[in-house]
Amino acid sequence: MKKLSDILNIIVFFGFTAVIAIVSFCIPKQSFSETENRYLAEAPKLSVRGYFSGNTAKQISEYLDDSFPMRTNWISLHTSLELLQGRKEVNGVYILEDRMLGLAHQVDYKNIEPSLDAVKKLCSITDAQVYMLAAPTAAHIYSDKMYAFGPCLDQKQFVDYIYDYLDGDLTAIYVFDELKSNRDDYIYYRTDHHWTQRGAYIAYTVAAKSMGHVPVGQERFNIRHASHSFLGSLHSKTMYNQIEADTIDFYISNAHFVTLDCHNTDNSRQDSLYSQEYLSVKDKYLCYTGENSAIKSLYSTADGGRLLVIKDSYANCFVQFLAEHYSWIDMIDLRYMTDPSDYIDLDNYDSVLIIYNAVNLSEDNNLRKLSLLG
Amino acid sequence: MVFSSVEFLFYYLPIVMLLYYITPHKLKNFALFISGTVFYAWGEPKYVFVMLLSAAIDYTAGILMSGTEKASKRRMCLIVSVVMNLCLLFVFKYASFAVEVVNTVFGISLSDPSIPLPIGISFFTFQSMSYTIDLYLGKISVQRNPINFLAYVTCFPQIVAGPIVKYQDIADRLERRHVTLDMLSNGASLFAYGLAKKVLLANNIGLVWERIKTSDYSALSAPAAWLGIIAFAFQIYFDFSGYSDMAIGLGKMLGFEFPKNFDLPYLSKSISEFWRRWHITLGSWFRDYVYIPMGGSRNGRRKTVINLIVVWILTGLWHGASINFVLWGLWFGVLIIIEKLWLGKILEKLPDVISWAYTMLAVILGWVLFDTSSVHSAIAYIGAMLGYGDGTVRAMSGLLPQSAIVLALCMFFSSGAAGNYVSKLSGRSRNTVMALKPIITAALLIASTSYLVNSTYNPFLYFNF
Repeated sequence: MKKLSDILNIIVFFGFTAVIAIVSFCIPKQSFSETENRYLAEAPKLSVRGYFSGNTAKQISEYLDDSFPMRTNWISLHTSLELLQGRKEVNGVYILEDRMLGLAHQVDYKNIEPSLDAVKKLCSITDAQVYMLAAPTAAHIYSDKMYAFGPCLDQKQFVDYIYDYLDGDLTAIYVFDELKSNRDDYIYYRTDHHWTQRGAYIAYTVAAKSMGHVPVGQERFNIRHASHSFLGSLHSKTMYNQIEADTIDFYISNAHFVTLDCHNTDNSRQDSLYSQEYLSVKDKYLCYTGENSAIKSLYSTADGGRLLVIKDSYANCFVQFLAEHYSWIDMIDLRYMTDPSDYIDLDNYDSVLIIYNAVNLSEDNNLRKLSLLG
Repeated sequence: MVFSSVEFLFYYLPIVMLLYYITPHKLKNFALFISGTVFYAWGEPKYVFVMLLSAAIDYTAGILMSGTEKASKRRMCLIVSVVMNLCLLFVFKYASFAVEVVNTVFGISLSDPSIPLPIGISFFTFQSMSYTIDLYLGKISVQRNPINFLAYVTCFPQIVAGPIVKYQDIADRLERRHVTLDMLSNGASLFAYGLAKKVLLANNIGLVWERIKTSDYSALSAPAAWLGIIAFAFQIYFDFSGYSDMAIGLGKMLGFEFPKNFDLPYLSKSISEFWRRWHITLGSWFRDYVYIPMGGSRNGRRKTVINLIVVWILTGLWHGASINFVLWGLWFGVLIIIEKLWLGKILEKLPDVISWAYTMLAVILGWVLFDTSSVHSAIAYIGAMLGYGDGTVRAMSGLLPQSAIVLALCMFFSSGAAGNYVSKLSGRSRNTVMALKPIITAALLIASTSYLVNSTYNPFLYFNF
């Protein structure tokens, strides 16, 4: 019995380690990981210089890590083991019974000041009316359900700070209360870090009023349930499969016809506000105006002025509503450009809207690029 | 390379073990030397030559020492070997600290040489010094085969983090060794336990300490401060003893029996006892090669106290080049002296729970010194433990609820309760234990692997170019 047990034990140990090594050499190599949204490490070229700098060893490690067999299944197992020991925070995601929340770390408010000063400068050099909408993320809206491990960003306090800082320079749009009172109305995805188009619509009703428009009612839109199987970025981070998949809705206007002008990185052109082709990929949120890119333009049959939207991806399912009021909307994403003046001329716009979620606003330094304008 | 990595566990280990087993007996030490050098060079592509230099010095010193009967020549060889090793250690580990001390004392500003610390230098220099010292003392015979000596120095299981294996511990096995089925199986199990200790317990409880350590100490509530340092006590124990278990397990798989390094230190009822159970091979190195050669406790009370102070300052310094480590060593030195003088007798008479509580309190206060960045922050931290923090960082917010189970597991496994249960069980129903052994190995490996893979998992919210 002892001998048998020892033999089994040895087989388990060496079998397990060796089989993984063999399998990883045999399975075909992927170059892109859809769940991780990045290119995987490639086998490094060996060189003496690479060896002495320590890079070769590092690259081999990364290559072996990235080509580990059944990677996502291991991540799932890891998440289950974390939950089993009472952990709620896994890989930066807080897991509740019915949804996941992306956690945001506390930041030093001082770091955001150069960005805000760039916004101030923008306001001072343009005649256009400037608006700002800092949206909360789900982590704020459901914060009462969370017992976080460490200090989290207090989004309300942070946005109050920003709005105070910019007081007098621009018109601040405050959507926190409206979103919070509708929080049972499926305004944030359960498995993704974005708001749903329903959430964006609620924020729009507040924004439209601030921007001097009468918000159009929801009956203006045909709501199409495009997909019921969206597993978003929070799912990618944890590979946790116990949360119901999300629904992607398309709010299609009855009144106006809107076209999109967007050049993708592969130079393909996209002209639809809702791109069906992304329904078949992992990140279905891309249906909303497509991939992130430096500049996208919306042309609407609505009768209205020209609007510049300086934005992160929260705007992608939000601008559709603004197209009810503006005939031409340019959206720029500062993360994908070095100098905004390469893309736009401030004199062309009647209004400017800066729309970000509070977490991006706290972590992203790209707003500083606005100081290059004018 | 570290044991708890994908490249070691799933590539290096199976490949090296396979090659090692099919290598004929005569060449096994050569295989060990090559595999150890690759292992070390993986993490230290340049400093691998420092390690080989240290080995070459000690090998040559040994050969020269054995070639002469003259006491003065023999002593010369020993001095050269020890001084060279200590020089390597000084240059790579203590130069920055020494410059800092000199600058502070003399008010000058020499520039910091900032030489990076080669992995494991404190371990391999100590190991190879044990060879020349024991050879000088006539405890062992000379190793003429350079490959055998290199195999001892570069032996990959213990090269980067111990246990500190003295040459005399494995001199016989270096010449001839066999791996029995029993050793292979126990080695595999021990490795899996060690890996699980490191990856499942130490890393997890370490998250608690990391959060508390990096917060502002003046904001900590007293329970949070206690939770933090207790978490660190478990982290360092499971990390270090897990690493030792992995090393000892790998040693067994290669046919070696390395000495035990940890023996449930958190059950100790005095500081003297704690140091007989914590990092045992380091304590015994300092005892054999510093304390006893200095005269130990044979030359009266005053000399003993001085010897102890020196040994404990050195022990502190060995752990790292900073004033915190010196004070940490001194703290234990002073307590051990007090215990030797009178406290020890009292502790023996006190109820176990009181002497245990005293020991743990002393150890925990020691850990504060050990892992805070300066004396100033250690004092601030102890202040928070006493309730001087303003309490905005609370233990109950999410820290304790989310880590209660890991904490309970840490207590359970550091109390030896698991081991007691197994030995009780193996007395009663041996077959159950036998049947469980491979299942436990599999479960621990699978669970640990999921954590290893997760640590390399890196999804981007936005596509990165």
